[in-house]
Amino acid sequence: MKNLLFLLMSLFISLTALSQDRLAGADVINVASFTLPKEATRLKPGSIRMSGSVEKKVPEGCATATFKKMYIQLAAASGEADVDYLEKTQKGITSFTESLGVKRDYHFQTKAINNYRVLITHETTNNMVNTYTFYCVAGDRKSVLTGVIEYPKNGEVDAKSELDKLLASIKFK
Amino acid sequence: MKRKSLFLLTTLFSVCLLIFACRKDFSNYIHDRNDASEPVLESAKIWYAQHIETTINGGGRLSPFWKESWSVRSTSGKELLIVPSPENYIENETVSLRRFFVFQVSNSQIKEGNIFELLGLNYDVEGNLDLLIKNNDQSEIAGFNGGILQYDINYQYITGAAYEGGKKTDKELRILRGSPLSAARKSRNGNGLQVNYCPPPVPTNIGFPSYEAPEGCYFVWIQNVTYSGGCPFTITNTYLNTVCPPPPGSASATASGSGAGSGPAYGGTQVDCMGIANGTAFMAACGCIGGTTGIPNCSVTPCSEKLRITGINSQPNINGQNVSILAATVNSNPPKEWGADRKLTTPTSGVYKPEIVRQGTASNIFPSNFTWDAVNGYSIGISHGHPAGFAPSPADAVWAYGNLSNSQLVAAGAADIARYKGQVSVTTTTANGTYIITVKDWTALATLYTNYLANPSAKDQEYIDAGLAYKKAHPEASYETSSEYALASLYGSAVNIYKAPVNSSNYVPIGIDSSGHISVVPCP
Repeated sequence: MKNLLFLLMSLFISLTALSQDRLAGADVINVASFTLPKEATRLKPGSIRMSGSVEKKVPEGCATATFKKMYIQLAAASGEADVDYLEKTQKGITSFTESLGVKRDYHFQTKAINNYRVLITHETTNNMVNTYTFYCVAGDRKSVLTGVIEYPKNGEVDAKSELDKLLASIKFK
Repeated sequence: MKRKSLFLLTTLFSVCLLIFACRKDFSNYIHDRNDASEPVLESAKIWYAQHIETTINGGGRLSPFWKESWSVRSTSGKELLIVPSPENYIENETVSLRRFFVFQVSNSQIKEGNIFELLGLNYDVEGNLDLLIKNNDQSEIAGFNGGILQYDINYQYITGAAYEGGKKTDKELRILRGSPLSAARKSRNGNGLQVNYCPPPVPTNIGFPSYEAPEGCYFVWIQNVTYSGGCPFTITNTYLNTVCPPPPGSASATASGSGAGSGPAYGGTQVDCMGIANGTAFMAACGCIGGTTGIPNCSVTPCSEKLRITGINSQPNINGQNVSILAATVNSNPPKEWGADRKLTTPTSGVYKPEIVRQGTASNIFPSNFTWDAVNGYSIGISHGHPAGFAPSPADAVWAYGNLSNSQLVAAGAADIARYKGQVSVTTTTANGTYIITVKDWTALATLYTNYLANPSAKDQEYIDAGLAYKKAHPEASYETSSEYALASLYGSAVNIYKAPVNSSNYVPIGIDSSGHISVVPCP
């Protein structure tokens, strides 16, 4: 009986291990609905120059826009996320940054909104730009969505307001 | 009637097609040869890639014609893989010459590889090829007059056995070029054949033109040396050819414009380093390139270099070292990098000195101990572990360039620097796989190195930012993959990046694809 239990546990652990990182890039629109401000300017992949900052690369496969000197980016993946996707993400950010001894001022916050959980990181720097990044996992863990809001240092109030509105509008399909 | 003719024509065409398709099999059947098996051929290609020295200046690297290979068992019972190589035109009609790569096979693995030149003096080498190959290590080969010259895989002379009347003599044969008169002078000066305290013999020159080679040209001849009491007793030089550079403006003159000159040539006309008369291949720092080699320049493609890397890292001592480094790194508490230097016994040996796996000074620092001398070894790389599991860092990417200012390497001269450049690599072992970096553009790396040295901290931040940005745009990516992207996007212009699964030597090149993803570079 003990042997059988051991075998079953091994099988369960193996299957759990196999289920890790089964995510593939997906179109944001196919994964979730969201609302951007009406005045936002949608961007195409390439590069843009934000006011007061250096040239910014706009990656392919993301939904991107500018609004009130803010840069907004959304990307998605579907498949099966790990149970601890958000915890691993937070650990990954810290571990990767510290691996080269780079010091960063991050503030992490995890919360549940609509039908998903989200990890919000707020990075303040000595440069002209601060960043909100959020990592959302659908309740069924079938899809994930990441978002970025980069904003000028003096635009904290607007950025926080847009972040809250955007997170509230996100509904996983 | 028409139908019968059509049937006959179709049959004839089919038979011709069959004969054409199977011509190699028929030829092997007639000559009692066997087709080389695919595993043996692959093994030989890996062995060749592993041992070929691409940085020998003027060395005369030959290209094997793999598709024309066959296998044969020698009289002494050795399994041999025979791979033809380019031939040169011989002006002297009494001399015939064929050249082959000969690999010794054991259990489908290559034990040894050499280049053999079968030299016939008033003897039909072509008609007796199989007899000579099968008996290459025998003291008697019925009716053979000539010699069997052996070179290493980089076409560096090892030995030349002379045969007369079918019996091996104690004479030594080799093919030389230059002028026999200057060679004789060298001998008297103690720089040539002269052994300590040996009186220099007066060479006998046979068949040479009555004049010295015109300026810029040289003679090619066979040198036959007999020994007595350990000293050269007689030297007989037999003329083969005169080789002159092509007239200015001709195709091969343009191709040889690097100044490195062409490869071994026996023809009266200019023969390129592939053995092609008036060919456009030329000898560069990395070997014979251009022309029919299919290699446009000295920059190695990731797919061709993959074979060499896999070959080197399949060696039990190298693979075992990586395994030890990884184990020590992941088990270190607090996390520390562990690693070892990669040093050769000589710059061209391909043989690695045993190196102790030692602890680095921090979780992200492993200092190398670079040396370039016969006692401490010739550093051509470093292997180290990353405890956090991420790809090679900016410091790893530019490491190879920093050693170019090492005083020992600088003092060793241009040839050794070229050898270093041709072999240097940085290995990074992690719990997610093993990475190897090689240099593909030294000029680009120089710029990256200078920028890194100016502000290492800024370059590390740039690397982290690039990785994090990738993760934000690709939620499916791990942070390890994101670190690969950071490396490839910032340093991929100067270095090739290879990755193998943990404890495996199956390396594949990785890079950024057209859609901006980090991915495996497809190889044919």
